[in-house]
Amino acid sequence: MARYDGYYLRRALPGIAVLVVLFLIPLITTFSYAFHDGMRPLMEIFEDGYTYRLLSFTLTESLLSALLSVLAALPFAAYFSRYTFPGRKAVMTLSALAFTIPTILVVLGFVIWYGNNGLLNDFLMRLTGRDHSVIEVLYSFRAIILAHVYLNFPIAFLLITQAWEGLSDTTEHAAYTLGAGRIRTFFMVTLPRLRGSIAAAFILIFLFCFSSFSIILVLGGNPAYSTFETEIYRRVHISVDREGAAALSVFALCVSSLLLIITGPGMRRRKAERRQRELIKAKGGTLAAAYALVLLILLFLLPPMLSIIYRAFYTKEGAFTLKAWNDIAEGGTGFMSAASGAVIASFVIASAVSLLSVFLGARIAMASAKRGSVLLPLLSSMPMASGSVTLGLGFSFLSAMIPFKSPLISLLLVIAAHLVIVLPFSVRTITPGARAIPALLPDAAYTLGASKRRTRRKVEMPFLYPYMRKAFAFSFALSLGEVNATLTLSDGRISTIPVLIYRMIGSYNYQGAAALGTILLAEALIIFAIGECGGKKNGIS
Amino acid sequence: MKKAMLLALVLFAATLISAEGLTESTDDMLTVYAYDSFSGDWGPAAKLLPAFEEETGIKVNLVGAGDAVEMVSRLELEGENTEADVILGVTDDFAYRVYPYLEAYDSPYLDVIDEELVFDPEHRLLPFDYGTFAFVWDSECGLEKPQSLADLTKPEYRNKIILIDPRTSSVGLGLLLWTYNIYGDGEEFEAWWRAMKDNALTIADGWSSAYGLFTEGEAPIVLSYTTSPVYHVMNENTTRYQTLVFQEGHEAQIEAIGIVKGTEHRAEAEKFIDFILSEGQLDTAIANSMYPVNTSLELPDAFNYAPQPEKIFRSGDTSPETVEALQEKWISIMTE
Repeated sequence: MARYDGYYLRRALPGIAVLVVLFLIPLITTFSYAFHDGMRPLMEIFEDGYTYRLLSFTLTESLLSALLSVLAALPFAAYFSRYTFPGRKAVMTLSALAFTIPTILVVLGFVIWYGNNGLLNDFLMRLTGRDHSVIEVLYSFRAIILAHVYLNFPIAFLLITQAWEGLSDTTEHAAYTLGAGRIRTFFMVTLPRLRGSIAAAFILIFLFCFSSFSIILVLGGNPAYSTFETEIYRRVHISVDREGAAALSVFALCVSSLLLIITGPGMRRRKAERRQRELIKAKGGTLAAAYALVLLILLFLLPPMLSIIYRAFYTKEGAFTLKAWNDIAEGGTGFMSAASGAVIASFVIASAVSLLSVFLGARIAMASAKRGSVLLPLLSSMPMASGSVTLGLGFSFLSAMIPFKSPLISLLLVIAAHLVIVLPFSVRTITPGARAIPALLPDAAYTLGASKRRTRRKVEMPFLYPYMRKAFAFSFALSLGEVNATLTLSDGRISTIPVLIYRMIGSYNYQGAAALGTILLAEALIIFAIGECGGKKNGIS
Repeated sequence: MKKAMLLALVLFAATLISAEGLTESTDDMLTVYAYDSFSGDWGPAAKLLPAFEEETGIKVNLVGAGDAVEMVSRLELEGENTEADVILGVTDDFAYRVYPYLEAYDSPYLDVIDEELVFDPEHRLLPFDYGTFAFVWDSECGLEKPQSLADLTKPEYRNKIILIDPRTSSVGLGLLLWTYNIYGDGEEFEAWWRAMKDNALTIADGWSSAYGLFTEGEAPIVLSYTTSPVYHVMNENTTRYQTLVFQEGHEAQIEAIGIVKGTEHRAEAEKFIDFILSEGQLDTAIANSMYPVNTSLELPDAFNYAPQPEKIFRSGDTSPETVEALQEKWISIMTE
């Protein structure tokens, strides 16, 4: 095998170059501040007790969020990877939607639905006849976990289902034949084979939660609940202490990288898997159980999103109004043109970003699977592990380094920045697929005289397609909802929908923001639907 | 896959072509760095710039450089290589960071500006508008109207107040400095913030989420600006949401404009600043929900619902070292 390593590594070079130029160089510039006068800023961080309080909370909330998301996803993945039933695809598509919503609207959706004066409480109060809120889940630690599981459950659900579908169940049948029970078989046979995908999902979710802070502050309701990201943000934006911010970023990155390295071996290559499992058509009791699960997912995932749509049409008092839509059509300086422009800009950017990220991500995933490399997955995960504030800092360096500006350069910069943000996602999503390619298959192809190129295209790539499609959906959704890098790098020249949402809110128009959020969800839904249909036809699936 | 890549290429080419048409040289233009909300589609710029360009024949290249702090950081990073001729929207608390990059300008319009607001005696930064932080409350919530910061510590306001974190928001920092100006940094300061641990429903990351929680009815009192009720009057036709004006005074944030050192467009830059300080005053203030520094101007009727506090504290008067110490104190009080 070793002789073919170079080939796959060369193919991964464009992706690696993107990461090095757009991420590593600005990052190193940023980090160099941490090492000013003999590492003083870094030493201060290490000696400060506050750092360790932040560390302990950050680790607690992110490990718990990741664990619960994965645990919650397992039973659903078990059903969805085994049975087929009408609506199955639709539910899986829907679950990726949550990614497109900018954080501020997720918070708003949560408050509209779960809030002390929210729709759920309103309904329960009428039901029970009480005059105060029935469930008070927000503004507590539980709320943080609930919101994180809400946002990240889909990652675990989709990734694990994906991997599980690819497992043939002959081994399980063998275990049954040998007298092992269902539970024993699951833990001894199925789970070990799913380990790679579970680890991939766990790490992605962990990293997400590790750098989360808006949700934690607003929904946690207590300043004691704060993460590294809060403190990095403070040092960048409030105290303008670049050295301290850099030092803290280095510390945080070390912690998350350590976790990446520890879990790296957990994603080792699975044994050869020749046959995909056949999905069984659900009937009778199984069908009822499947729909019960579908109902559960929908009851969990939809209300906060529907709440945003509800608020786009109804005032807090419950009166129907189209005012928000009128505001979008007429507001400011012909805002309808700005809104339609933003829909197009969002679409163009998200399409370019997601295609590129799948294209480059698949190559990196292949190369790292072939080499069993630790370094490559680490490099490709670093943008996520370093957190959005640090990334933003890097991007503003990048922006300052470029001496001339034009709308075209702004657009390219935004696309590049989004690419850096979503590439880790795409690599992590595709890697389990790349590792699942049976090592014997390409060897057999080579023996039969197929070239490296032909082997890759005809034998290896088909294994990746389903994973690539998931990566595409995630990338598209992430790029569609991104706002910080867009603002930093576009000099205010490029307005995507999330950018407009923030501007709407800036001028007090929360209902207008909800209306724009509705447009964003609609755009994502249409793209995903097209992706599902188109994928089937031309074999991307 | 091939089809997908082809599509990507076509998309890419299309964006290149469409964006290329918009590109023009900015060498002869006056480059103005402004915070994003000034330059955005709804910011004052959309109305002001065409008027300025028509009047003076000077073309303006407006760069939306993130929020006010990011803009300052950007100027620091770019140093002498910056293309900026004018920087607009620096707040008084960050003024000390940009002074080294600015040159003084004694605008003739300094005369009309309220003296109290001219925070830089050397006139490197000239104020153009200012805002005052205040608590906004829902007058129909059935609670007694708080009359002072001290009133907010009463047990009846338990979980009724939405605050903003001073670590992540300039509005939150405004309240921290406000309480410092009223109570100092001793026991009274600590007692006030300890009471907030009970009375604050949550301490949001930024103004956007805090005010969103407020409009969703999660709590009847929110930290915001004195001008916030204007939106509700103008767009929802309700006077239900009102500013709480406290006799003890309010924290103010002053936004200023200045000329970047070494500019090749000094004359144009002066004209631009004069324009913002004269004809541009009202539009800028209204779009920013701030007060104009020219206090003789007549404000629209809706501003009747944005009471101007008589006594203000300038955020820039608190030294950066004090701010840092206050934040550390705040963290230890709130997390103990």
